[in-house]
Amino acid sequence: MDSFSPVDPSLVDVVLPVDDQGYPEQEMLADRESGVLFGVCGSASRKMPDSLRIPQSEWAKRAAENDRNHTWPMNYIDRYTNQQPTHECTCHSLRTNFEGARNRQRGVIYPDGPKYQGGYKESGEVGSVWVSPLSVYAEANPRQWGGAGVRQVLEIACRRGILPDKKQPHDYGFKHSLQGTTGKGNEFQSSGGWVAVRNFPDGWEQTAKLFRPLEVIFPESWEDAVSLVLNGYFVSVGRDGHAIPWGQWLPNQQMMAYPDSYNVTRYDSLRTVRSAWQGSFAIATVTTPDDWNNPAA
Amino acid sequence: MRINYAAGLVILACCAAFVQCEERRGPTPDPISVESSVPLTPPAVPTPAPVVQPKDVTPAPLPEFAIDGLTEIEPGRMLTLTITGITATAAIDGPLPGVSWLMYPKTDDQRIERNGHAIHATWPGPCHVWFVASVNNPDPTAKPLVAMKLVKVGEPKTPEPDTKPATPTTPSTPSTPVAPSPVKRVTYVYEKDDGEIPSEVAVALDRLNRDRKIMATKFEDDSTDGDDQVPEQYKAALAIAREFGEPILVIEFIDGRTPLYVKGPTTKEQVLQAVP
Repeated sequence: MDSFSPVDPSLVDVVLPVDDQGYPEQEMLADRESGVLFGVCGSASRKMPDSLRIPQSEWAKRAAENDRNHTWPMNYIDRYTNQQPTHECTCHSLRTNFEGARNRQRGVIYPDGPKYQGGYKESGEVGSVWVSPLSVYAEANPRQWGGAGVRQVLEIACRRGILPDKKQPHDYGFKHSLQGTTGKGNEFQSSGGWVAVRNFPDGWEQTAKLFRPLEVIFPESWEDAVSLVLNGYFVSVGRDGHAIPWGQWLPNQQMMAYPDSYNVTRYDSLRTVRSAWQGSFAIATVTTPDDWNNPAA
Repeated sequence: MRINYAAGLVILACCAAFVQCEERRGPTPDPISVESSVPLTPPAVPTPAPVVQPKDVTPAPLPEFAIDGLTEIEPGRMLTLTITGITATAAIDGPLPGVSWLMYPKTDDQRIERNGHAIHATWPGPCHVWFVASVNNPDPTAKPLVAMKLVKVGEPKTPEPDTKPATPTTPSTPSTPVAPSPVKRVTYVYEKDDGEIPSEVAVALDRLNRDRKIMATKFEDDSTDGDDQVPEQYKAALAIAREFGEPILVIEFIDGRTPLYVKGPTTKEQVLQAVP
């Protein structure tokens, strides 16, 4: 995960085919209106703290430190997800942001970043929990196709939380869970049919509330977005019909790397970063269990 | 006096490598995870092609490309290996060629000098480690030069059989097994508006979790559980943080003794050395 090495140009500024795009332009424009996202998160909303701003002159040094210590946002998630061919992208981006924040609190680093096969044996030992993007998307867009806006999914997650995926690295004994996606999924994400919210398992709210964002930071510039990533926070953004979470800054090439919800890491150029940061967010903290080894309690 | 620029570069590089080695021989480095398999047979590596010399020219000796350093080291101590013979391959006006390294088994706690002319690493427990270094051959049509070195880390010594009659001496203290950690939990309590956890402290927490199986986490002081309450596991640490200020590292014990704390740690060593 060396942030100074060159990348495959075919993975830069990738625009998905129109049929695969789950972040409609009208939603993106609405999300980028000043104050909109800040408003939907209620008491969870946070302005960008000055203490997290890093001067541009120190970005390369900080990137080298993150390379050495494996403290990029990418190092705080243990899995990819795969939404192919659904329109769930905003919710997959949300889940990456959420799981990254939760694992950051847990204090465990995944040195090779996310995986879609093989995995980390310690995921189950340290209480890593995989949440279900579908459990949010089903409420954000009951019609299933057409995508959702960032403001809808953020509001839902902050208000009532996210259900755990049926697949977990360990049997935590969750009373309620849901398939992760109606798309392909992978070794670490379950796949299943569409489920309307009214057909969620009875009492599901009691489990979903255990997995809620508590503080969400809204960057006020593209430089803020880079600073957050350098501090280990995922920054979820939407652009070109697709929502993704920035997870690593590449100083030499001036790019952001992100774990795309297609089992692959891709990159956004500086031009894209500068245009897309508006309407972005970073989950700073999430609900914390009374016992990390028993997250179902 | 003619100044030999290339020689000067060589001298500077050697001095830099020497200083780096000396600086690293400091306090005991951090424990890290290690693979359990012990490779006793090195991986297959192609040997350099023999040098073909023109008949009318006296062949110049090949530089002795080799890995220099200890062949045995204690667990947790920083091992430093350096490359020798590399200066002989330097072009008069060019930089020293870079050296590539392979290590079996790997360790997370490693650092390679920018030009690859030295490597530093630690392991927490007994193992055998093969190092393989390679560099471009001075002859560009020949295969790279390769050097290998086997290092033993903390191999326990086999006690010699006692063939002499016991003589009356002070009774020896029987060896006691290593006790499990008395630590129940380590928590870094902080307010994110005052700054994020230093990355070295994050690494230290990860090490405590992985290597010592100690519950080591960070807690932002506004965080709550799913019922908007302070999580039970953090009440004691939060109380100490409120009393002594943040950021703070709180160490709680299984037997309920008075917790320890460290105010504002910023390095791995500060955390790992504070946790018994």
